[in-house]
Parts: sequence; C-alpha cells; structure tokens
Amino acid sequence: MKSTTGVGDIARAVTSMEVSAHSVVMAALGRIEVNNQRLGAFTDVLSERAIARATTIDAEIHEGKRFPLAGVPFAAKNLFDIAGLPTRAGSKINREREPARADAALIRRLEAAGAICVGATNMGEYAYDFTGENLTDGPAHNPHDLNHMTGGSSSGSASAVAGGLVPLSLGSDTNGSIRVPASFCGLFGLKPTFGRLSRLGTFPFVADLDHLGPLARSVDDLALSYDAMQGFDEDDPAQSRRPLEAVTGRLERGSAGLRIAIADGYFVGEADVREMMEVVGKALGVSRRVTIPDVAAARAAAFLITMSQAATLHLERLRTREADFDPAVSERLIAGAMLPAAWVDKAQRFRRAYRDEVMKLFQHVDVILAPSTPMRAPKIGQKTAMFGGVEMPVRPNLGIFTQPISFIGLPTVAIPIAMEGQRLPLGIQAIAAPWREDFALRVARQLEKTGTASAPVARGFADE
Amino acid sequence: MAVKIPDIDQWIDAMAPVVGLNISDERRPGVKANLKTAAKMAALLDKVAIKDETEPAPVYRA
Repeated sequence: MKSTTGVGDIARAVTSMEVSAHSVVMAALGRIEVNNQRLGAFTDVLSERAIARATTIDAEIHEGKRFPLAGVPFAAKNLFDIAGLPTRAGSKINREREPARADAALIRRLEAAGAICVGATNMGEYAYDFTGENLTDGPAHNPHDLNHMTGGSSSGSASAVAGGLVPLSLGSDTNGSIRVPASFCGLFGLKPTFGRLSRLGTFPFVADLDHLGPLARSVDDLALSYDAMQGFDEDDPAQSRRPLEAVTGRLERGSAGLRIAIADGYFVGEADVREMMEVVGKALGVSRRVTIPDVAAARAAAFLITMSQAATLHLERLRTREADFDPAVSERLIAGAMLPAAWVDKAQRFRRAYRDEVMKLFQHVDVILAPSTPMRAPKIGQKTAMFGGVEMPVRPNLGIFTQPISFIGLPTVAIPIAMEGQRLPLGIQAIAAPWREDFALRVARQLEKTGTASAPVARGFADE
Repeated sequence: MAVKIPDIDQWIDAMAPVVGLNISDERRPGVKANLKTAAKMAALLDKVAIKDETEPAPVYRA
C-alpha cells in the first residue's frame, strides 16, 4: 500500500482481501521507521500491538465480518490514552504517570470500526502551543519543508499524515490545534461541534474549550473516520446527547443550495492569505461578505479563559516542578494563575452573548469561510513575524483566526487550498452552525471536487 | 478605561504568594510579558457591554 493511499481505498482493498491488514500495517510501520527521524512525528510506535490487531482483523474478514475502516492505520496525539503508555501530553513531567489502563474512547471507536492504532504522535507541551516545537521531544517537522513549523499543538499528527506515514490521525483543538497544523501542513481537518465527540481518556487542557477530531488527506477520509467516532458516551460530562448523524455519502451535493459568505474585517491576514480567499471565493462563486461581530473581543476572552483554566489545571505542578516545564509554557501558565476572577468571569459571560450574536448570522448564512492562519508556516525557531504590518511574537498569534471560532464550539472543517508556485501550504476554515458538520464538509467536498482544495503527501514522501 | 496596564512587578509580588508560586528571576520577564498581554486582552473585553441578564456558560452547550 502506497504512502498516498487514503482511508477509503485501504478499507475497500482490505475488505475485498485484495491486500491484508497485516501488509498495510507493515508498510506503515516501514515508512515510520524510514522517515520518522526526519519528521519527528511519532513519539511512540506500537509495532507489536498493531501487528497483532491486523492479524485479528484479517482473520475476522476471512470469517465474513465487515468493517468501515478495515485495516486503516492511524496515529493519535500523545494526549490520548493508549493502554500501557503514560499519557505524556507533550510534557516531560507526565512521563512519570502510571501507564494508561485503557485506550481513549475515540481510539476504541476507530479500532472497533477496523482501524489500527500504530502509534502516538508528538505535540506541543500540554497542548499550549501553536508552533509544533517541543523542548523534550524535539520539534515535529513540516513534510513540505523540513525547516518549517508544522503548527501546533497537534504537530506530529499533521506531520504523520502530510508525510504519508499514515492516512489518518487524531488531534485535539482547544483554540486551533487541529486547524493551525492542517493549514501549515496542507491537510483536511475536522473540529466538530463542542460536545459532539467523547473526550474520555484524553489529557485535558481547557475543559470549556477542548475538542477532538481527525486529520486526513481527503474529505471522504475525514467523513469515514468522523462517522466511526460519533455516538454518546455517558462518561464524558461535556458531551451532548446527540444522535449519530452520519455524513458519509451525504457530501456529494457539494455546496449546491448552501448560503456561503466570506468573513471580512478581522480576518484579513498577509497578502497571500487575501489572495487565497479570492481564489476560494471565485471557485465557489461567492462574493458575499459577512462581519462576525466582536470577534477581537472573542479572541481576547478565549485567551483569558485558556490562561486561567490551564493555570488552575497545572498549578500544583507549577509550584513543585516548574523547572520541568518548557519556559514558554510555564511563563504563560504562571501568568494565568494570577488573573483577576472578574476578567475570566466577564470572558465567560461574554461567551454567551457572543454566541447569541453569531447565531443570528446563521439565520442568513449556512457556512462562513475564513483563513485558518494569518500566514504560511514560519521557520522552526522563528520567534516573531509580521501580523497586519506589526512585528509580533509567533507563538500566541498563529491562532488569531481559529480562536474566536472554537470559543463558541462551532463545527469547522480545515481545508487546504492549492495555490500555484507555493511549496508551503495554507488553508481555510469552513464554519457552520452547531451540529451542521455536514454543511462545512460539503463546502470542503465542493472545493476538493473542483481541484481548489487538495492535500497531497509532501514531495519526497510520496511513493511514485 | 476601567482596565489599566498596571505596574506588573507589583502585581507579581502581590499575587505570587497568594497562589503559592515562586517566580524566579529567570521566569520573571516572560511572566511579565504574558501578564501584559492578558491585561491588554482584558482591556479589550472590558469595552464590550454585557447585559446583567447574560449568564455565563460554565458547562457550555453549543
């Protein structure tokens, strides 16, 4: 199986016994062995477990059993529990934790659908990161140019898929940690509605804002994995009781009949970001603009809630183990522990008011488009960049376009936009009303069908 | 403006013991920079008027 083969094609080939799950997994493990040192994508490789699982899947298929994700190798960000491993969440400190007793809920669901977890991926420390750098494990590298950032904090999950090591990975997104790396590494990503997917068995960051979701190289692949992960889990207190609303097979209508607008004002970005929005507008025949109200305040509120809740989560570790944090993380957390409650409470109350205002927009529009990042991937180690003509620190500012969206839990698909002559990718967000993942995915499918969106394995990692 | 950028050293010296944190000289400049950013964010948010009846969303439901 080639590095470029996607989720759907692998599942069909394994189901028809054209190839075995065993051979698919061996090929993935082989690619990880050859390329991981360059990419820094995986922190743990589960060879033995994956091979055993593949053997079981092959036997069950021979007995006539059918799986929607038969034999599909996938990776999970290392904040997902994997039985037998300490859940490190990108940190030095967490490696001392007891090994997890069971897999995270979403890993269990993907494996129940026939997929095979081949390893855990690198990530920014405690997910408080947009760069993909990690002081302990080293940075994940962008497969499109190894000197550049993957984006974070789901850095290794993006590197693994863009580098063709696996066709599917799991990430988390609190303020943009799926959408930023999807933009920098040229991938499709889905951050579902807040409360849609179970977070059970994952290490938290900001309980009010944490989401989980998949990264893949096609819209169908996102849809297949998303459908396998849906369903209520009574052990996750933040999950909503929604019925399974499958999207596979419901996306071919594309954007027909959808009311689409492009977000203006705040969502400007650098010149080629603006050019990308023009390309997308032309491809979809969309000229309508919409202004998301109070979006800068929304970003500020998400920023304060994040600082404060993350600081509370880590306070005891900050008291006793501060030297074992990346200073770029601990300095933000220490500051977060010293914020006035009035600021954070105001942010929570504003969240309700902002949500109500944005919901009014969705009476007139089904999908809002905005860039995912204000720029293409900076170089690894780069500390500052120009944002709107002003030099600002890179680390907290790469998420300025994603943060106001996840703040109110809106389902968003990250879509990689193909632009001529550009080696480093760039992507957009298709944002829908709560529970309308299907609308955002249909826009992604439309752009994919017309060739405006594509997520190729990076040059040098794609099998000929 | 209700939220002002305060003297951040005073802020750290007052609050760090309250939350049981020791801030080393090495960490202090970074912590200051982050508090300054937070104060700017709070000032931005402070400008937005919210009705008394607007309740927070502690367990958020989209």
